[in-house]
Amino acid sequence: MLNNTLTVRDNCPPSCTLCVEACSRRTVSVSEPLIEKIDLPEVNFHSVLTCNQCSQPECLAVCPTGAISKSDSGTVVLDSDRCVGCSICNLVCPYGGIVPKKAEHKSQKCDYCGDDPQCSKACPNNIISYDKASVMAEQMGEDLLSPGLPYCAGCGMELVDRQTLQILGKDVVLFGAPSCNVLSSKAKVPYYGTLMTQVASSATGVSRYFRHIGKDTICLAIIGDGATADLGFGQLSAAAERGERILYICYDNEAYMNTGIQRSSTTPYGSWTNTTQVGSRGRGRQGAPKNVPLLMAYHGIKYTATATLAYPEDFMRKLLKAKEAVKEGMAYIHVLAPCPTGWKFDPCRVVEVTKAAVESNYFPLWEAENGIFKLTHEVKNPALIQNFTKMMKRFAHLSEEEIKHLQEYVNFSFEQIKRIAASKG
Amino acid sequence: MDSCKYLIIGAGPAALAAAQAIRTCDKNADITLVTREHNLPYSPAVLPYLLSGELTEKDLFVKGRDLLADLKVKLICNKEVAAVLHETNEVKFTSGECQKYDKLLIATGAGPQIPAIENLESDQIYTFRTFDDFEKLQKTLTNKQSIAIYGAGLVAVEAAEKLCMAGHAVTIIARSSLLRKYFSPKNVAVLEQAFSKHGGRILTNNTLVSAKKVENKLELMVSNGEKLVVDRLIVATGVTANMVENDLIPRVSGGLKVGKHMETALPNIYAAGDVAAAPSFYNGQNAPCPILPEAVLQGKIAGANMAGKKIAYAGWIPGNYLRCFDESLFSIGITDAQLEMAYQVLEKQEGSSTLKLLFKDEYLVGAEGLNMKSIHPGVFLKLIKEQIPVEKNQELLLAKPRETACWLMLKHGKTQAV
Repeated sequence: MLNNTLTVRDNCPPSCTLCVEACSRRTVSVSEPLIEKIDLPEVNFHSVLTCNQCSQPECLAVCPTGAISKSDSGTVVLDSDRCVGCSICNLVCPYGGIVPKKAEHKSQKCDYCGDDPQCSKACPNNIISYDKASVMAEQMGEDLLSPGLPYCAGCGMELVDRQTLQILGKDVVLFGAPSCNVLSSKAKVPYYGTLMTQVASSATGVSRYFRHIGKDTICLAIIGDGATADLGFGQLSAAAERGERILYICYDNEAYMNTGIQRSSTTPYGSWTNTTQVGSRGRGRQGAPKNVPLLMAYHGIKYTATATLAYPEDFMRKLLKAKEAVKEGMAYIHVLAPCPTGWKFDPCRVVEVTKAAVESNYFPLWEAENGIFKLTHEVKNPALIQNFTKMMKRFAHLSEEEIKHLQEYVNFSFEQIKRIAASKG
Repeated sequence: MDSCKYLIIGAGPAALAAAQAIRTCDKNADITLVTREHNLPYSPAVLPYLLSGELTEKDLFVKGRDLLADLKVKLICNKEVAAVLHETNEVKFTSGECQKYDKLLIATGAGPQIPAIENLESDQIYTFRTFDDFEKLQKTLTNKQSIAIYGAGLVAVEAAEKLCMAGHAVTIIARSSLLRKYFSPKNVAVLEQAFSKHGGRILTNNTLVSAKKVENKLELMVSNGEKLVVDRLIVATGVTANMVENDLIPRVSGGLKVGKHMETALPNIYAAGDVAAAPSFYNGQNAPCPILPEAVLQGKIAGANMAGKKIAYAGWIPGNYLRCFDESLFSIGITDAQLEMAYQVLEKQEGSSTLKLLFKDEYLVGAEGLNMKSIHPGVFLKLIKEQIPVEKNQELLLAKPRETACWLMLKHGKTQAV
């Protein structure tokens, strides 16, 4: 089920209480605000607090009269008529989401103003934002993957493929090459299998044919980092420079995984692979990886983005933008695809690993529309790189010194993209 | 394959929470609740609100009715369990018949403990535990009456408040003080004043010696020598677990001993709620913790474990919140510093509001507040339960409790495991 979500980003300005004021004006007469401003200058913390709309709300579980319920869109609603004000909900809510009514012996809570939250509208800094589930649900079309999966246990590519096709729809021709992600027998759209060196040029030819006959069919390539960053990079770069109308998704698992875990040019510093061994002479891959999405953006193509399965709304918005952009030129999305087999982590942790990559700025989420860069998910307090590396064995050998080096690289490339985004170019 | 048969004795909050957890884990489960009461499930915590009309009888049962339907749970009323026959996986009812189970949950709750009072016949007293008790009482409250309440626990005090507000003359006879187990004497004193302001009377440090029926009234002798003539006597001196017959389940502190998966010593038999003596969060000692949030949590954990999951209970933490007249009080965790000198106690008073915080090293272990402006007791509970380090911010937590507690909660951003 998809839920409506109120997101609170980052620190608020200390003196601002516009959301609280808007909340008290949510009804015709002035009411007690259900969003609270938390100002703690002692530790430089300024934020707001309101109900989290938990997926399994403790308030709902304990409410003796059943006054608290969950709506279809995931909002936790308190029916004032059935509330007796016993306050047991306030006793168990770990997030301070319940507010006692002063005048009456009753409790109250945020209900997103009946799916129209006044606080997020009033927030001038875009710190509070409201995402409606229906927006995402409306964009999700038919599931175009047939049953049965060709992937290793715990691979996130199933979700990436599924979401991509659900959003792009049926009017798509897929392009691929020998890789982990061969969808010839899995996708309910035509699939064109070619060589690793010429995915971009094959898509170019077919795309030109469709233009010629006056059709907008999307030529979609989903292919790994080896074919993108190494073998097929020349063809890809040429197609980008010509502005071919293809949508190219690189799923980056940071090595040639399908052939047995050999280093590619996106393999990160220090990572073990079968061709960057760790032993008396080797310490894993040396040097910095190729920043392919940045290179692609600098070709001046219509749309470039990085995305992950761990932030599906962000991914969806990017797919929608790419779908538009590809009508006029090239769109490129670089998707991080953690590989349980090659990175050596517990197959049940793919989403966690993906999140850790983003939350440590190892894989920042950004987009460039017509050359204008923007960070789409700025991390509040980036985690140390160890939080990411400790989840997998390919980095297990790294010394403190090497971790420091990796951290410096992560900081450098994040600062780089941040600088570009800040300069609007 | 036959679906697994889950039998739950009792139909209170712990029983319903267990049924819900079982259904989440096992779609095909055959779940039955059996209760000796005649009505739909309800939560005893809000029964006092029936007296003031803030809660209607209809609303009392809505949640239970909806849950039974949603969860596809069978409810058997008017049946009391006489014995648990664990060797054959059956329970025996007082009517003589037996019912098989694969997994059994004992969630029978607790009933009133009636102390010995001279000359008192059981038909002259009213109790405060079940819907029946309240229905019986409610029927007699047609006009303004004088009512004595013997006992001073949470339900007694809440009921006393509702009766006062309805215009009855209420006298509370407390063996020590009001709510001694829940709140500190200073805060209780404020509550006692509120009662006198609303026409209630409180006799502290007194016992009820005898009760005699004189015409339609009761003549009560109190240990200080005073004689009271009242229309009704309500006894709410405490509760005792509603036991089921089976000597092989060890008992501790008046409850059925359970481990951290809410399992008893016998295979396939679990217990949760007021009847269960589960381990305490602080010292692991087994004892019942008869409060609603813990009953729900224990039920949920018992249900999940019965359905094959392995979820451990972190242990109970007492927590109470009372809004009585215009006062609001809460207490969480350890609030009595006398228990152990190792706690660091910080206190403050601002106008009519007070706050007391207890720490052990860098962790919060207890909090008690009176009339705090917009406070969220649950956030304190989270800080305690998840052992979120307060570090050097004890003074800050006292000075700005709401802000600091929320900051610590957000900073550590832990989510509930269960």
